Amino acid sequence: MHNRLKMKPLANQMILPFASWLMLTALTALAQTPNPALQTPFVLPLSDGTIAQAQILPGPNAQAYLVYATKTGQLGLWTMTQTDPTPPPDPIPPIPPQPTKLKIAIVENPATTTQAQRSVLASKSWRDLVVDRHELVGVIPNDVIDKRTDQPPPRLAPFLDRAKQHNLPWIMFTDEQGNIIWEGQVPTTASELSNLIKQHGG
Amino acid sequence: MPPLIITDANADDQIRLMRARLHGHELYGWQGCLPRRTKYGGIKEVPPSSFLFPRIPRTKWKQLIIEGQGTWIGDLTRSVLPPHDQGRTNYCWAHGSVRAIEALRVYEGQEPLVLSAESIAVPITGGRNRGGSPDEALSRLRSHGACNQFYWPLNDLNIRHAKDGWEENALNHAILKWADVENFDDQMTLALHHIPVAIGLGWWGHLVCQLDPVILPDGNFGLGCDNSWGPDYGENGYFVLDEKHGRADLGAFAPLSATFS
Repeated sequence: MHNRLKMKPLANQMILPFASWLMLTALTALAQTPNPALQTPFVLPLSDGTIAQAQILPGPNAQAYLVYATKTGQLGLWTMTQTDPTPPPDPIPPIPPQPTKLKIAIVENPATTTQAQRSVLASKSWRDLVVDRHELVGVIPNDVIDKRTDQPPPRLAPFLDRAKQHNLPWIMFTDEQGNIIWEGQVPTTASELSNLIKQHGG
Repeated sequence: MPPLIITDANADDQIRLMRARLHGHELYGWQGCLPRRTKYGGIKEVPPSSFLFPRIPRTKWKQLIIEGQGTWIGDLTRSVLPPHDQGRTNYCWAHGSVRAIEALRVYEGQEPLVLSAESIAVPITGGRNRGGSPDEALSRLRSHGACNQFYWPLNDLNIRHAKDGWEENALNHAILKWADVENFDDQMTLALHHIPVAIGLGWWGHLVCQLDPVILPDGNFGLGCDNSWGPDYGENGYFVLDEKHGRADLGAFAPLSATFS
């Protein structure tokens, strides 16, 4: 059952020291209770640790009354409003990021890249990941040129230009249209680099 | 199966192999690799001051080799490229040198290609089947590059048999930046940097491509290399030189960057 019941206090801790049990019985008798299951008295634990005898009684406009009486003679009355019985739809699970085919370009100065950095760049772990899912534009020397033109190859020029203002080696992820998705320093370990690729490209 | 390791125990066998000839003809030639023609530093890249790798001290080699498992450039190269086979030519100096560019291209993430050794050797020798030096090969690779083997039939010494466009194609595979190599410590430093090196070996009269730093079974250091004697040599062309036999006393160079194709 997914019925939601909103509870509104009508008479909070009404003290009726006299005949509270009698009133409860009278109210029960006066009420029209089409649902026999709701007519059954039950024990209601209260917030102060005591218990009370309670019963649900039908009311007007799809409301119901929760009536209870404590052993010390206090009587309580709550109205309950029945809301839309249709259970709410299950929450939509978060959509996992769509795997993106990344173009990965790394610009380095081969004469100054350290041994540790080259170990990361040469590692098969992230390269295998790229071969499976992405495209490695290249580990590009920062002064690469086309010998025919003495200019950087056009397809590499945007990466070379972008890396100029950064400390090398500099890594860039783009989508297939060439839009930068992420760029930054090459991580210090191959596993960090793999994670970075997975994070941005799936 | 452990790789072929060349030490004092079997170095003579390698020389005999080189001289093992059909009817007395040398199969792979003799003195395929000639001594360098320049002094150390003479082939250092221009400007010389722009390249100075600090030598990695021996005390760190073992740790770095262990840490670098799975990253060595030979592992990358052998998985995508077949070994060279120089046939009956004396062009080891060209085959080993273009192999260094091939390995560099793999590191750079470029399409793996087998390059034509003849396309750098024949223009230098005029088609004669003679040995050459590492700095001759480097000079040609810097200025003209080596074409894709598609353009030049393997072990064909006739330039007229090359397909049209081979010179244009060769410019896609030219060395841009390189390093000179003075001694074994330089060689090991470059290997630890994942940089291939073409090494000329006097004891063998041969040039091979050095790829990986290796710890030998006796705990000493060696170099994993690719030979150009086809797939039957060593482990699909791969073998290991101990330090004594791995010293590049005929000269060596290390390509650091190449043109992109």
